[in-house]
Amino acid sequence: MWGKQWYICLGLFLIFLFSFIMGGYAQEGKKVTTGAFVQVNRLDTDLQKGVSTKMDVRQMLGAPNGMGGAIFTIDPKQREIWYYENVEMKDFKREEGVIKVDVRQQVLLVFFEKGVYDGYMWFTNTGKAEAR
Amino acid sequence: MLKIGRWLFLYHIIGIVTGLLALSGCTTQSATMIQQPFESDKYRTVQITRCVNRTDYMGTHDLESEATRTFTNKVRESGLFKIVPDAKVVLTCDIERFEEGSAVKRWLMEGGATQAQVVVMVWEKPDDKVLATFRTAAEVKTGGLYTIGADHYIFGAAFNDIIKQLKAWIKGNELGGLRDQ
Repeated sequence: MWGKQWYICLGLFLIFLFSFIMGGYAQEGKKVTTGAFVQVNRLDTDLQKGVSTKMDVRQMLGAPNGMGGAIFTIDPKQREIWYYENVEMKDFKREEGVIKVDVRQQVLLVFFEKGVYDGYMWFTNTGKAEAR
Repeated sequence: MLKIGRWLFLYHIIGIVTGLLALSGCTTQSATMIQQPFESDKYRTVQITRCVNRTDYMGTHDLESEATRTFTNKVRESGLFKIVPDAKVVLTCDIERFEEGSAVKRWLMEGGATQAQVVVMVWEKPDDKVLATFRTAAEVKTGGLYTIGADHYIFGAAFNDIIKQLKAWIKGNELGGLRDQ
């Protein structure tokens, strides 16, 4: 009787172990990101140039990853900049000892003049990387 | 009687070891941006707004409530500020990352880390001037089964680090880098 219970426990443990090992393999192909990125498509509709405040920008985009300033040669007014970034590993595969990674990077600069929203600049790029 | 005494002794030893292992598994990484130095006469009363969830977490935790409650308690316990609803200084809080993790996965195989990243910004009203930004990422990735429940105390670890950064700002120092808790 005790032997039967022991085999049931062993069977349950093996199922448990197998599910975790399979869970480990399922990591391959998983999306990995430095955090959910801001909704760039809402910038044009939800923010108003010369009106929206920094608090409005933070409500919509979250806290910036960095802060700085800029003076452009064509328009030498000093502007404050909030910097947002995101790196997303969209896919990764292991093939014959080589790890292949698809990466997408986004950078968003939000400009402020005298403390109010003045515009933005957005970049996105994708790339592939290999690790041996 | 002797057996009960032994059990109590063993129980305490297990508790101490468990506590030490649980704490040793938690690391925090800080980033501080100071825009204005702290002015003790102006910035002693604050209001705290509800934390905003910026993650795509779909689990069972109510992140906004848990983070807001933990942050408010930590600020109150620290005694750094008096919390007043209409104070001119506002502390905003954003949850940037939350991974529930799994102590079993940490024990059986690599991975399963519990993570929380939060950012607190200090604002001065009425101009919405940013005074300082404090960001921290807390993580439990070792400790195995001793770290069961890390998803419940990870916000506490993260906001403890935010309080450290706030203290440093108040003292006029700047903190940063990786620290073990």
